Amino acid sequence: MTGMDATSGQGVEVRGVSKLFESRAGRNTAVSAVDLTIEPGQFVSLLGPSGCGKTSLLRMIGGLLEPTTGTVTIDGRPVAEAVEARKFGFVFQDPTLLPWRTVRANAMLLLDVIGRQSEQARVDALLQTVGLSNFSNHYPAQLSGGMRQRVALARALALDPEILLMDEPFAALDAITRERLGVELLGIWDGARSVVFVTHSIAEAVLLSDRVVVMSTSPGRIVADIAIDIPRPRNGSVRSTDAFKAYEDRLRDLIEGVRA
Amino acid sequence: MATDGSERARRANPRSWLLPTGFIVLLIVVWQLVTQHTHWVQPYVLPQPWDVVTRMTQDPSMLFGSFRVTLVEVIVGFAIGSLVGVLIALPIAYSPSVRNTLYPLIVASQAVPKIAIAPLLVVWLGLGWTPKLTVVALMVFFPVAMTSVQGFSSVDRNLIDLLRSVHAPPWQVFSKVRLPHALPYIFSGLKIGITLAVVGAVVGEWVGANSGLGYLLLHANSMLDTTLLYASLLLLVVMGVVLFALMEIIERVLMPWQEPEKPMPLTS
Repeated sequence: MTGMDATSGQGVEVRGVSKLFESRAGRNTAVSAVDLTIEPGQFVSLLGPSGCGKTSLLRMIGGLLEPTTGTVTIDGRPVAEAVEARKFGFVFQDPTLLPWRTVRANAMLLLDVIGRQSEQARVDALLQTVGLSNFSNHYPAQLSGGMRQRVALARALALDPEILLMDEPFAALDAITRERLGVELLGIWDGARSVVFVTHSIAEAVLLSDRVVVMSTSPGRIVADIAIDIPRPRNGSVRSTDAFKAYEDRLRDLIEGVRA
Repeated sequence: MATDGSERARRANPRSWLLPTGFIVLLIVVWQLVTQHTHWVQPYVLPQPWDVVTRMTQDPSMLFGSFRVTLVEVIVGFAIGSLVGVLIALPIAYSPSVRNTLYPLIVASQAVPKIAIAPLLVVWLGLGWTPKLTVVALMVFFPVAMTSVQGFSSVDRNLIDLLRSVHAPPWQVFSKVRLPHALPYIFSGLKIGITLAVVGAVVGEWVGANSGLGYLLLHANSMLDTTLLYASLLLLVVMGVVLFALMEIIERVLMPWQEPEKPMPLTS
């Protein structure tokens, strides 16, 4: 049993969290007895094959899904309070932009719905950061897939969230765009917020993360928690270093082991 | 803005309206020639198009007076029916139990032939405007309700989650996301509804009326006055087509981001 006294720290604390889905097809344990701590400003990837519960874990951290057992706290307080305090920013696999809003208006959406339209200067700066300032009056239909995902990232950052939750944000893109956006994200992430990054790409996880948490399937649990000691600032060229390749090999072995 | 340009070019393409217009003109010319120069069909079966037009100019006050009566029934009944349709769609889209409770009733209400219950409506509501408006509204509300439910409930789940994750107020989610997302769906229902509204008004007038194009149609039929019958029919068709076009114009003005040729759900 974990009491509330154990969760007084800063950042994300996941304690004994399980998630059980019940359907007509039967019971499915998506996440089983997971403990995880993410310190403020840390970039953590959840890496694993499809169906290892990494998305469910992410959604429980962000308060979109209720754990069956266990607790998630943010800065020592329940998730619901963090949601009310708007501490989360979400990026999903699909950009889910509104077709009737321009790029700028899409990036403004969350500020709009919570009545903070006055902060549009930050949105313009963010569009600059993600390289879309020339497209702020375009509609999503006029953009490429990579550009749409950049808008989704700007939209998530518009609220200046303490914790950025990304659920396979580049998985729907072509390989070249995907690599480029990964490198761009290195530059965009300023270390001022934690990132939880769900991916099944080993290279992406090593490139971006301070820690890579490897998960296994049925039931989804954590099998390894690897610190990536590649100094920052990093750029795309670290991918050709021996250290990078060593991490890749190690993670691949872990995942193969998980599958075997 | 490349997309905008090509879209405008496509809309303005003269061939898009030349072909259907030309075809209709051709049909009318053939019809005129056949009825004027052959004796294949009797005039009381198929009058000459020209006679129909002259009939309209001979008796404009009767025909256009009737037109106005029916038009008011169509527009007011359509407004009531579509308002009820959208409003009833909201609780259905938001609550599964409301959905399960109301769906069978709504479908059943639609399975009842309007022509069969129209006399009952006259018994209940008298001979005035109310039974006609009720028939029109009953015809309109179903497609509007169905497409609205689809529109309100088909918002991307991730988008709803995104809004949940920032604790967005429900009203903001509705007005900024659900309603604009549902608009194209609602409009496909409204476009089906507006044509059904004309049918509804005619049915309403058949059962108990002393004015309107439906009434005139019935009257002309009983007198074997085929020219008048065709003149009334023509006006009904014009009314339906113009109202439909009007809906399309409103749709494009409200939703410039929407492709003009959107497939319409629920039509077959």
